[in-house]
Amino acid sequence: MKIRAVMIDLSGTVHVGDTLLPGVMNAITKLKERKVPLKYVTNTSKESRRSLLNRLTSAGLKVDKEDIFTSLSAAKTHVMQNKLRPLLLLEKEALEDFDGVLTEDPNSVVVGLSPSQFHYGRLTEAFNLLKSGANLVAINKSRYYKREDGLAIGTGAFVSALEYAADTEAHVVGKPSVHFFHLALKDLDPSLMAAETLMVGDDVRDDVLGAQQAGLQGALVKTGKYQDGDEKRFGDPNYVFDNLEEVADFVINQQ
Amino acid sequence: MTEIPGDPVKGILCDITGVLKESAIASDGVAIQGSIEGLARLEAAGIKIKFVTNESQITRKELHAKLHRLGFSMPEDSIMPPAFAAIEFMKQKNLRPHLLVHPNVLSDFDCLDKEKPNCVVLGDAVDLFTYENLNTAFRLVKEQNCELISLGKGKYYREDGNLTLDVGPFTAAVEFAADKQAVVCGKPDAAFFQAGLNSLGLEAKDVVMVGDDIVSDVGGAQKAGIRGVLVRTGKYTSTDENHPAVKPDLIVDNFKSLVDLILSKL
Repeated sequence: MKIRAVMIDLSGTVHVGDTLLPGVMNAITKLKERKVPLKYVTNTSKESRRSLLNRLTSAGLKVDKEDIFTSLSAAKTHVMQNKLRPLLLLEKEALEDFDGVLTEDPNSVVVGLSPSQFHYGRLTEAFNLLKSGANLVAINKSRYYKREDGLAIGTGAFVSALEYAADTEAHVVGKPSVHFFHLALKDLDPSLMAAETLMVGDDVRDDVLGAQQAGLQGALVKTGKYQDGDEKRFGDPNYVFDNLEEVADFVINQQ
Repeated sequence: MTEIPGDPVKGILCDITGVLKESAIASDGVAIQGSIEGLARLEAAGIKIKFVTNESQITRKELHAKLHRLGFSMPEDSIMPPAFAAIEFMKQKNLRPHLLVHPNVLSDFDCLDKEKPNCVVLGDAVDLFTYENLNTAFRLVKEQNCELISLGKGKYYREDGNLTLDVGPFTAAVEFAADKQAVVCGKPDAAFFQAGLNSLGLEAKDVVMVGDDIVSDVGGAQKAGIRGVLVRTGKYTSTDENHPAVKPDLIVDNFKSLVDLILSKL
């Protein structure tokens, strides 16, 4: 089916840390010139949307708040809808996206990417809450991501640690949750069909195969955390490209 | 009257923390009432005992000294901590470890070459379980294809009355991130229990394992063909009695109750 719209992962696909990846500016310019609807869909949970926006703008990307759909905001919606009072394992920079959430007398644990919280004492505290019945919400279950200095162990590892310790299963809000992809799609354009939307990312399982499970088309890019052979290891991505610029050219050429 | 099912008991594999003593951060802990006397009575009756522990925060020598300060009198070589099982394994496979373990247990590993590590060993490192230390371990396994060894895989234990995380969750973290299964040296690994049987010189049917951890102690022993007895001390919580996967062969209030039962059958 012809691709009418594009959802793009951020970390590892558009940028690594404070730097835009090669060809990204060209890719976005081309897609916008041809008026291809696009939405950045990110599991990034280490900072608020505002902070992320600043980082991307400083790196040279033209982007507005409405262009970004984050698992952090989907998690807040989940917490409010279910009237949860969370113990938040989040970095300071991400807390502002949870403004208004009640945290006194917690009955749940919400886990995002928070290296400063992923230490023995804090994890034991979270574990004890879970053991006495609190539920576990994972903003994402990413195995690892690409940091400026190399691979870095992800949120998913610490979610797994808590799941194992407390014999419980996390409710995963972000990618690769099918519900999350559908929420993102609706946020992009409620009239869009999943099958005419392409999800692009560097994580073959969480970005690409996850999107395909939700009925979207999936494109793996060989940047960021991509490792040689990822496209053969876990399932079949619809497309594999070297980078985002190749994706943009492909989408434009089939219009 | 409660009974121990199966053949007469000739030997015991005994957990330490939660069975013989309760743990505390700032002291040697406290001997559980009746345990010291219970061990002495078993010995007098000719029942063989080995202590299979997942203790990895101190060396075997220090653990032995600690137990003696509490009033126990077992010989040092009757204690089988996971570090020794891991060292055996690493020697067999020519493995050179990167250690993320408690600083107080490091010297047990002095006999091994640690240059250019090709394996990662995770122990009960407590406050050394920081994000960066776990990241280093993860990178070694993911990028250098290092073997991953876990000293036991317990989920939690009780210390100063509170539940606190054991090594297992941190092993689960690295396993998940690196897509690799750890080799577990220690409970609940069957090879560890078998080493215990070898040490006792007895067959599985003649032995019972007694512990406070429904999964690592009882479940692990049962998978090795050994009867598993759960005590209601240590990390035990009442939900353990309805565990979805593990049904203990027997549940007793404490170690002394088990000793009473065993001796009443002689």
